[in-house]
Amino acid sequence: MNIQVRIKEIRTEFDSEFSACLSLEDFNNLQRKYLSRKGIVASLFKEIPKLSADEKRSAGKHLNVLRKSVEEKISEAIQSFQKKKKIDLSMDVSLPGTPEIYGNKHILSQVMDEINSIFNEIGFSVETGPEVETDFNNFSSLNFPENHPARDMQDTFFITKDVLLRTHTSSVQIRVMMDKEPPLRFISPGRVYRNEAINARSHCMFHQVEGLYVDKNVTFAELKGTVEYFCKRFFGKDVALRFRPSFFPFTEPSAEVDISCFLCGGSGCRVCKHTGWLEILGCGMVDPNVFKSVGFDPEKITGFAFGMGVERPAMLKYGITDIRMFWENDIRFLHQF
Amino acid sequence: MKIYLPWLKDYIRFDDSPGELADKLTLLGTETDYHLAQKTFFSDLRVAKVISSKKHPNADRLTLCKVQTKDGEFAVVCGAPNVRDGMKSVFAPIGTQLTPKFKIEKRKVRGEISEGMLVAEDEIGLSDDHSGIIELGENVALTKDVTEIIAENATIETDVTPNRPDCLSYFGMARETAILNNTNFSKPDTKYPETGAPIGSEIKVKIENPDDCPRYACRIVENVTIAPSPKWLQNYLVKSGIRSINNVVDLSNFVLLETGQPLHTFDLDLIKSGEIHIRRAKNGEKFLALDEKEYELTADNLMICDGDLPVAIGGVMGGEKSGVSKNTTKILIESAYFAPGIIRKSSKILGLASESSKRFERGVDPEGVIYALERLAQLLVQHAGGTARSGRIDEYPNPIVPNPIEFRISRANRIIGVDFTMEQIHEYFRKLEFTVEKVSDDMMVVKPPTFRPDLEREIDLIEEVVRLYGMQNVESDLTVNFHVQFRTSEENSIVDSVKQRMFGAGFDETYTVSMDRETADLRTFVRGSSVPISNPLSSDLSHMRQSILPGLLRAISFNLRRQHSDIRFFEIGTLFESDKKSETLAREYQAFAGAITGNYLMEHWSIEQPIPMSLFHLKGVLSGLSAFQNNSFQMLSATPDEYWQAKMEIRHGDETVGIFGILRAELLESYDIDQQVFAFEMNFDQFKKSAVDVRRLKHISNFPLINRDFSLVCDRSIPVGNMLNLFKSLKFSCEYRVEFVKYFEGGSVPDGKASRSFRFYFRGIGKNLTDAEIDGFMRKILAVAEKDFQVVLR
Ligand SMILES: [Zn+2]
Repeated sequence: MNIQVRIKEIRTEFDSEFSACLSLEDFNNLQRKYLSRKGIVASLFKEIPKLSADEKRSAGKHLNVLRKSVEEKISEAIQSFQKKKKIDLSMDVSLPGTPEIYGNKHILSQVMDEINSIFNEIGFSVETGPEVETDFNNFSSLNFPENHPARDMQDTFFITKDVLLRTHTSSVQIRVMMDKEPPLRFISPGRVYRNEAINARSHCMFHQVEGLYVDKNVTFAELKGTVEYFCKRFFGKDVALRFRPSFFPFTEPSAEVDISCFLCGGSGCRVCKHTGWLEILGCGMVDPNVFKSVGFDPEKITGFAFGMGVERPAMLKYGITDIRMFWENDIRFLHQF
Repeated sequence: MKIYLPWLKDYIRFDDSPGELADKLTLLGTETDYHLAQKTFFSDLRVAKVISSKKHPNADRLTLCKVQTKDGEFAVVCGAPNVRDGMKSVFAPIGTQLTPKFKIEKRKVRGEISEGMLVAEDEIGLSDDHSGIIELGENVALTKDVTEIIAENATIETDVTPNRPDCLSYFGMARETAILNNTNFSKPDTKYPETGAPIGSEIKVKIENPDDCPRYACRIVENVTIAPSPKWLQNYLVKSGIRSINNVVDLSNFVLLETGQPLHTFDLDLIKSGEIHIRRAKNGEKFLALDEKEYELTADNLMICDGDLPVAIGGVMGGEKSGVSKNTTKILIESAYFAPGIIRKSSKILGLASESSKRFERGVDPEGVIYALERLAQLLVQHAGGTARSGRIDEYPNPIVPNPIEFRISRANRIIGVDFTMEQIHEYFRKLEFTVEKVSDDMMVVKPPTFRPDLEREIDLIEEVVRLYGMQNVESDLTVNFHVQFRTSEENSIVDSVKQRMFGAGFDETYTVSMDRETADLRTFVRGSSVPISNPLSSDLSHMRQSILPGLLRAISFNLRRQHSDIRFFEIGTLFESDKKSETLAREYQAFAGAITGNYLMEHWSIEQPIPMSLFHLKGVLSGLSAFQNNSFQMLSATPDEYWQAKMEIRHGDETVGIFGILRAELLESYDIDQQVFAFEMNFDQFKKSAVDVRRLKHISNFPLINRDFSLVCDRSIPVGNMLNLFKSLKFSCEYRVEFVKYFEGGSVPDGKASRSFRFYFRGIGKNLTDAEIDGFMRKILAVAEKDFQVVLR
């Protein structure tokens, strides 16, 4: 058949099909049928090489006209379809959005990350150690003598007589000091274990962040500066701090640090047991016996250490009333933070 | 320890309110609480004198009283047993709101008018004491403010650190209060008359090993009458948290609290041999203690014996047979210094802790032994009708002398960061009752008193300096003068980026407990035996975990029971296995685990129905993570087993480093989960180690993307993944990728065969691809597929 005639027929066919199109999908199908690589228009172009020179020219011209008009008509239709959809006033934009599911970082991770980053700002790196520890790293080298009441301060889970679940991350201090030379400045976050009944206020496992700074002339005044910096960055610059003497076997002098209760502003409430103060952190100057146990000369080296729980400040800061909630993983809890 | 302030005031004068004193002591190192909430009705209460009392005509237990307060006279019906003429007590007049629900009103009690109430301590919230109405001293003025009386009679509570045994006594707290207020405290004298034959004629003391018992002293008091204690003594003890028993026991406890020196009293008539022998127990020896329990002893128990017969566990508890009873008249008082170590061992082994052992194991004052002995003898003479026998025994073969300590001011200043002068330090040490000898401008030699066993080294004295100076007064120093340390690994950034991806994929991070039952359930890559805890809290927490998955399943179950069924959880945590070669006997792994259940797309108006989570959703997440970290982890199909209904292994080289798949319904049932759960766990140490940072720009072509499809028919047993892996491994001189798009069986596809459609994408680099080039690529693809999988193009 004459190619010109076929072009005309196809044109008519297209027009009728075009007028029958109702949906966007119909137009897309039509576009594929006529304009795709294997479509009707393309197949006509493939026949051009078989024609005589004269026919080639005119057929090429007509085919191009056909292609252009088909392209224009379809794309116009598709566009107007899309436009129509956009300005469809019947669309109720108050309908709820499609829910996007985001996962949430556990609040304890968030708090630990925050603590880590505050100490990173003032030059503390991060060190970690095992949770199953030797008695030496957890107690003896930290100046807890055997048969000393100081050991009663931390109820311990034992694996054997000499191996236990670490009761604090201070054991990491020993590992690092055994391994490296001063100056040392790091924090050690991690899980610790105490053989205590599980209830709303205590759990047999919790998290701690301990810090150590060891160098030639580290002073108690610097310890105060560091702890103050942390507390004000973490709890807000308006909190007041109170250092009071205390006792830890591995530090001397030792201090407990209280911050002014940010819930009642210091006037006394149930949370601060009407004292106006919240106990937040223990700290002190590294005891010379600890330096001796890792082979440092306490006459040459001084240092400070501090340690705090993670759950307690998190509970205070976010009003969490039951420590078990951290471990239950109720998604209503996880999604709140 | 509870400190009753009127008792403390027997030794020292101070004007601080209970709250002020508690705060000051706290800042000096003894954490002290005063937690009496001020009640608004305190100001309504009045001091009242009972001016007359007679029996209620219609009730045996009630008394009709007339009381006088500064406001006038009132008629009161009182039910307390201790009400009597002339006494002074506390009166709550009409209108006093004692509790939100209880307001005092004028009323008739069995026909008699009552215009108020005489109160017991518990009724106004001072204590739990409901034994009778409050008794005030006779010379308390009617005009005195009851609020003030309450403050003066307050109890504060101290939490003494284990290094300060001296603070476990009224003397100790008086001493600390004296330091705070720049005053002195005074101990009562211990004078009393002595009579009769010297004690040595009746009893002897033999110490087997003076290292266990460096000092042992005793005295005899005869003609004692056992009776209830006088009121003041009962009150002192009860307010200090000790039950009143009888005069002898109470006086002994009184001296214990007063001085911190534990004392023991024997009924001397029950000591038959005439010799007190202090020795270690024999292994297996039995002893019936005061608590009426029989204890089996070991060589770590120090025994006080009547000849060879044990009569007390030294420093821990007395015996049933030698103790003071109501018929006792002749008392042997023991006052000793036992070595702290042996007492602690002894009390620990028996699981027996007492007020005595608590003090001995921390270290009592060896020089306080005699004072306490004399004090109790004096009190027995004064308050129990006793007569003291002449003389005392004091076995003290090797007196304990504190070692002198060299103290350098320069060292103190270097550690504290304050410039102290010799004068300042001297003043602190004087207050602390140290003996000081100046050696040079920098150094002094210091002898601390024997009641401070915690002071042995220079650093201990430095702590005293900062304690007395006040930690509050040390000026903070935040000089940033530090040595920067290089991080040795990228580990933490990998953790962070993996977590970020997981959050993006909708997974919540969980924290589950590191302890578990003894079970090998659901271990994925940990293979060694588990690490048991020798003293676990419960059988559910008896071993260190070997998989995070049980914890995740419990968390899912917890949520399902709360009607939350669409869950995506992950956790990065530690797993444990026994390792006899390690010094900790354990090897620890970082594991990365996750579990999903419920819907992937939740019900929403824009979709026809929710789309449930599937194994392939989990696989997509894991593939994405692995590709992102560029590690060489592979996922290979594995045979299902008793836990996994469908299972793939995560491999690194030849090693299985993790598992993911569909958990079996029977397993889930044991966790109370009734819907499908897809889970994974892998060795995160390996994951981190094998992650390679290959971030380097690959060329991005701007030439058009061309795609071609193949539908290939082959044996249905051939896994799609194998075909996909083959196609992915092909290389072409252009940008190339392949996707699996469709699976089809039946219809025109012969039985036993399946059609798989793949879409291949090509994009020229530097030029457009010609049809001929692409045809060539597709021929190559078909050829390898024909060769490896005998496919036929559909
Ligand atoms: Zn508060």
